[in-house]
Amino acid sequence: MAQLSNLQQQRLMVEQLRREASLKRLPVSEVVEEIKQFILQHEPEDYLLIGFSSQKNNPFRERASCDIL
Amino acid sequence: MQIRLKQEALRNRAGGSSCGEGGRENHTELRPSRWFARNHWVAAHARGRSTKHGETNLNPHSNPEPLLTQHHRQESGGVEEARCSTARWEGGCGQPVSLKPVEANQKNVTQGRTCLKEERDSRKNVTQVITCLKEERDSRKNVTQGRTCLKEERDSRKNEDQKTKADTTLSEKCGDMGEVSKIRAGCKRMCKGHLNKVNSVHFSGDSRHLVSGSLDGKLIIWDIYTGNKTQIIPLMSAWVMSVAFSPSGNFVASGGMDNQCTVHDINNRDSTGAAKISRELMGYEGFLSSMRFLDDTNLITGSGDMKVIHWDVQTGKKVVEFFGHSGDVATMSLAPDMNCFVTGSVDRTIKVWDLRDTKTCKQTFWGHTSDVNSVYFHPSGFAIGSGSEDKTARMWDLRSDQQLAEYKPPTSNSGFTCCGLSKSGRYILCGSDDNTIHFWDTMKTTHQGTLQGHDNRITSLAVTDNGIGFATSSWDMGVRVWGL
Repeated sequence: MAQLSNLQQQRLMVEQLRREASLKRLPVSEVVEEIKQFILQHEPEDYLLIGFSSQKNNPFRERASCDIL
Repeated sequence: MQIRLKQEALRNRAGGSSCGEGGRENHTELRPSRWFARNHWVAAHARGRSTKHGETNLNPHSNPEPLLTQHHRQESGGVEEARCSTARWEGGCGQPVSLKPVEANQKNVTQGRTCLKEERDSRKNVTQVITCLKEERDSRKNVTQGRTCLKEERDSRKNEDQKTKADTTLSEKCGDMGEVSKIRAGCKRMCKGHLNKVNSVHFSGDSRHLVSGSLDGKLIIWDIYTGNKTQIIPLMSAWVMSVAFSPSGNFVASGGMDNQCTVHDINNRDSTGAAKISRELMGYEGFLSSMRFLDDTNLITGSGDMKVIHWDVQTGKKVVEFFGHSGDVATMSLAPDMNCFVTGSVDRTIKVWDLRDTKTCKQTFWGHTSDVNSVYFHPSGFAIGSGSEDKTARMWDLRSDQQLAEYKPPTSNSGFTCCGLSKSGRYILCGSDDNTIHFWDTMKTTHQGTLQGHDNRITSLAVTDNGIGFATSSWDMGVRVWGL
């Protein structure tokens, strides 16, 4: 971008602020509710949270040595 | 007016109403001091107008009519004589002269007239220019003041709207959520091999391969299931600050203080046996601080020259440059749907950008009181987690455009260099300058503990796509993989 004069930069900044100020915002209660729902839905997939249901799925499990019969 | 007076004065001195004979003897001394007036008078005569003083009985020498007539007559073959047309008071003699000098004189007069005009114009212009400059300077001052006021007004409007939307807090809303247990993750793999500080790690899309970049000038690709190195890529420049793995696992990108981004093709080796350099992206005026692949063709980089650039790796050309940050871009994260991405910067802001509408930044989050070192998109795509030099981690919501929560450890000593969120988004993890990884419950904002293991500052943290674990890199030259 070419060097903009101070004036032009200020103008751009004000336009950007104008745009940001006129955003449509949702109430916090609504958005938090949705995030909560997402988390609750995806909890079973979150291994850091609930751990592995079966150690077979855990790539970090201790590998048992095989016995050759 | 002045000319008239001057001429009258001259006439008076000459002692007669007619400036003809009476002035003949004295006119040599009577030179008006102003060149301007003089030439105006001469020019006026040359134009054939009567002078302003209304004198009709003029010095016949300076009356151009005879001149013109004579000129024409000469052309037509008349035998009229030409007379010296220089003004009496200029030293003109009134004697018959050949036409040529007369013509020359007329030329001089015209030239004089043009010079005069130019001078008058230029004087006007100069005065005009000076006035313009003054006005411009004033208006610029006013405009800058106006702009600052406007800026403040917009900010306050934004803040007001945000406040009206903040009808509840996170903790209130999440009072009914179950408690999470204290973190049970531990260090599962210690990836040893780097010979210097490790600055960055990133997982491939398969959640199995990890690339790490170190100041020893090498990229190492690890298989975290076994902890083995699958590839070592020597770099042209040892000053690597950031690495990225493409989701497909075919390419790695690295960059740093060499002010360029190098893309290596994992699957193709060059003659020396190292991964082939697929592309070198140049033109940066600052160090490369962060980069992410959208896919094998598209790469977004953030750099110390405040630029965020979207590249087409196949052609090596810039697709789009995002403007907005006023400080080094330090970090970047892609949204799960790959339509947006977020950047954090030294200018303390977090900006959200949309790849479909690239002209301007979509949202800016203010709140951190120091450099934003790391950002991470919430898996839901609705929120962003961030870690900062100001010793706090925060959660921001995109749709209500404000901060939802602030996370601080019980003893807040050091800034956070990197952050990540678990697969559901319930945990936020931050690597810190105090060599530990801090965990919080994002919803209840409670500190869940720390993970020890590294001996020096943690520089980077990467979470697998499938959520089985995460990896950290540190100045202690080690890369650790954590899981359950």
